[in-house]
Amino acid sequence: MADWISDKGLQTTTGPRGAGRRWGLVVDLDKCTGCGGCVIACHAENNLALAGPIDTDQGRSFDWIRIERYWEGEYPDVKAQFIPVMCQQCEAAPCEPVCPVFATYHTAEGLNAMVYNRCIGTRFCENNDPYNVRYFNWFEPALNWPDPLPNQLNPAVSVRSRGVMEKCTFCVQRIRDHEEQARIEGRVLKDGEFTTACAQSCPAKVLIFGDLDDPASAVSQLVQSDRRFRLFESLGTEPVVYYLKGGQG
Amino acid sequence: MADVYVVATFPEVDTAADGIKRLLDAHFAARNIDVLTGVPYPPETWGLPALKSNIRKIAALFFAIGAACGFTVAAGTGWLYPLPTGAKAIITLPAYGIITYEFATIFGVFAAAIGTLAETRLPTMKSLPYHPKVSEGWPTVTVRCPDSQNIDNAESLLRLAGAQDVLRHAI
Amino acid sequence: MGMIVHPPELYPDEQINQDVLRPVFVTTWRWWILVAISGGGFMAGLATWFYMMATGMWVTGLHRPVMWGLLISNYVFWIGLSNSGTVISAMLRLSKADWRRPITRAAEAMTVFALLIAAQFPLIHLGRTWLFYYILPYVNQRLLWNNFRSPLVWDMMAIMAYLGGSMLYLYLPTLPDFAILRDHADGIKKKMFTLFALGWRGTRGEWTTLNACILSLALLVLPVAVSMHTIVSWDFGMTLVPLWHTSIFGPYFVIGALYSGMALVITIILILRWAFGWQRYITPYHLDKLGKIMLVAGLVWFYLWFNDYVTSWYGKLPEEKIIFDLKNAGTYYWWQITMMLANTMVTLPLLAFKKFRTSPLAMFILTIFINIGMWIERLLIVVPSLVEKGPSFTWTTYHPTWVEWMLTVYPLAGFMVLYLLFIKIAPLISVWEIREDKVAYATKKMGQAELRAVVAE
Repeated sequence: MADWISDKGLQTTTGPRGAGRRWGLVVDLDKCTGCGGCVIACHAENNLALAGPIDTDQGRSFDWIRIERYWEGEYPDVKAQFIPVMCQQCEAAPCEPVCPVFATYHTAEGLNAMVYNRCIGTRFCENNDPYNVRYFNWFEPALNWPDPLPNQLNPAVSVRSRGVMEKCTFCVQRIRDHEEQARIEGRVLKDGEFTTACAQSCPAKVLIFGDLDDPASAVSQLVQSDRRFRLFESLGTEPVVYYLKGGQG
Repeated sequence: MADVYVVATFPEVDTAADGIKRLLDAHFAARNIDVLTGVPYPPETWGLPALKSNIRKIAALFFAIGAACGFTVAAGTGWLYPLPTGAKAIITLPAYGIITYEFATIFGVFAAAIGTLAETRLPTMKSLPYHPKVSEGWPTVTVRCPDSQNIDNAESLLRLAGAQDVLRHAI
Repeated sequence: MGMIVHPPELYPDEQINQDVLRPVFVTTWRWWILVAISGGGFMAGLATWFYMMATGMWVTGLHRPVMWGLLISNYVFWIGLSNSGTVISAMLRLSKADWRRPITRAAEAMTVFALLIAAQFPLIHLGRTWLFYYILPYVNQRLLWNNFRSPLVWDMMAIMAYLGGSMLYLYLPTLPDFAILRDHADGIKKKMFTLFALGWRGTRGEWTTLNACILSLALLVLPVAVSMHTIVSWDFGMTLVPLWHTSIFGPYFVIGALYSGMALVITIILILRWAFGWQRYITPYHLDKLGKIMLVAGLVWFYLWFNDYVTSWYGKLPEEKIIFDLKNAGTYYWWQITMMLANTMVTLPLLAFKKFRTSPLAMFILTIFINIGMWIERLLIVVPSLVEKGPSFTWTTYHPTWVEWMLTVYPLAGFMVLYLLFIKIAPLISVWEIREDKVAYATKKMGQAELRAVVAE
């Protein structure tokens, strides 16, 4: 009962699936070249609608993962810094409680879930999202794939309709897929058995996905690193995306 | 048997009050006498027993009921469908307190309005005694006469007091 | 003392009926022209809304991360305007301030119509307007539940409570006036007013109950008005957005709403005064009193604004400083200056002078400027915080499109249409309350002075 009225006990709220796991992502910025492979992979995997140059310029593109580029130093000694930013799947996500219709909520395995059919498009979540990683469907996305592009849509991922919010899901379809597979085979899910589309396609192995509650997993090992930090940590949003960054600029 | 009312309009408050006094002196029951006015007068004006309204109590009662309903709806929804959001507890008292208050107010205002209609028996389809002079500001005395012999008596008493227009109204 | 005589205008009741009921029965060409203009604006706005619904939200200038823009500013502005009618009427009724009588009805109507207009904006700006009912707490089989932890649900509940309360608070005290209209009308209008009056006769019991009801409603509606504007402020205050996340927003929004609402009350009663020749009912005395309340509201508003300003200026939290500089040195600098001139620097000192407060023309111009300033204030709350929040890579600018400007005209036109139609339905000065003034007071001669003496209560 105490769990119900205190802010502490939420982890014990058990869901039907995935309880006992806590998915996390590690981004090693020292390795990132800003190639954008993850962005393309995400587009292909998650049926992201296309946006032309004008709409992109107007901030209406869909990049569940985006490479933010920052310039450092003064000309001619300029250096580009790249940082892939995706939904941080915060444990204390500020975007979740403001939704009036539970279109976004927290699953037992620590995912910041988005239920497209519930969304009515108040866009309050994006206002209260300190990372600006939520994407609103300004257009009818179904009109955005000229033939034969509709044939490449991923059948495991729903195509969102106009007027709803969407964002990175940590490729939840892959998580479900491999959970089912493991259950059929009567075994537990192995670390590294699968990964998200962005991590899979990263040539430099910048992104590593896994279970933070499994002490033996690669992500659990990596987040011990001295190089680790999280975005806007002072806000207390408790992201599960950990960035690694070395001393040298 | 039809109820007969005597309806008498007076140009001033004083004469109307005098008419009521004459009726009371002639042993007309106070509960059968009423005054129709265009504005509310202090209850003592007419020398009739003061009336009480329960609206305040009704509104307060339903305010409390609304508060209970509001908390039940808010907390019950959380209880039945425990969807965690942003590390907020399932039963978040500050948030549900706000809902409790708004529900209480909604219940309170509608109870006050519906209570008003119930207490005044409005809206009514019955043709009750009335005189259009009321909206010109003329106090109008109505007397219900269950006993038909009293009708003439009431009429003459009110005329004596200075009534301008005296009518009979049967329901 | 007696330079401005309070209106125990001891007209005969027939005269009051004549003066106040005339607009209900007599329709002038000016009314038709105004209805045509505002009706046109209203229909155009409605068409724009449907166009936006059919096409998609891309027709607005909104984009990530500016998810709320002009539409939400308009929402806050119109919710704010709705404040003062019911509040001023309830406050003055509870404190038995008799000068309230000629202005309560016009003010209460303003609240109801401004709220009806404002309540549309949360729907207008939804991505999927047609599914707005997902936000209501109703039992359904699709397991679609609303989240009572969301400030938007609080907002929806507050609008329902405030709108319900204000409508009843407008309608029930009008019952006796509908009865008067019923007795004066004929034909179809008589049928209509008979229906509206619900068979009101004015018995002792009816008056006793109605007075108790008005008192209860006033007591219930006054705090709910405060909660309404506080909750609107919490739509912003509950977030982590820089310069939104501040605890001063609750009282700041309430007093800002009172300020702009008072200005609109004065604008409206002055228009009514000119249009219907109600100089004897709405006097400089009322303007003086209302102007004083508005002055206090404006001073408190400025005080709270300055609190917010000076704390974010001194604190220099990095993310707040970015937005602070946008308003005070950057893109929104001139907006800020205009706002300060329109609703503080020029208007508040002028309001301190009785000469200005009692001059109808000066007050008319002043109140319109105050509301222009308050509209800009809402814009400055909503927009700058969003354009430069979060990672600087995503910072942007915001330029509203014609759709949003149309939907800024729409509420004004819609409000005018509703108000103009209401003129034909109910007297905008409460007839029975004016007359009650006559019953409750008498003049007493004392030396050379004619003073008012309380007769009842």
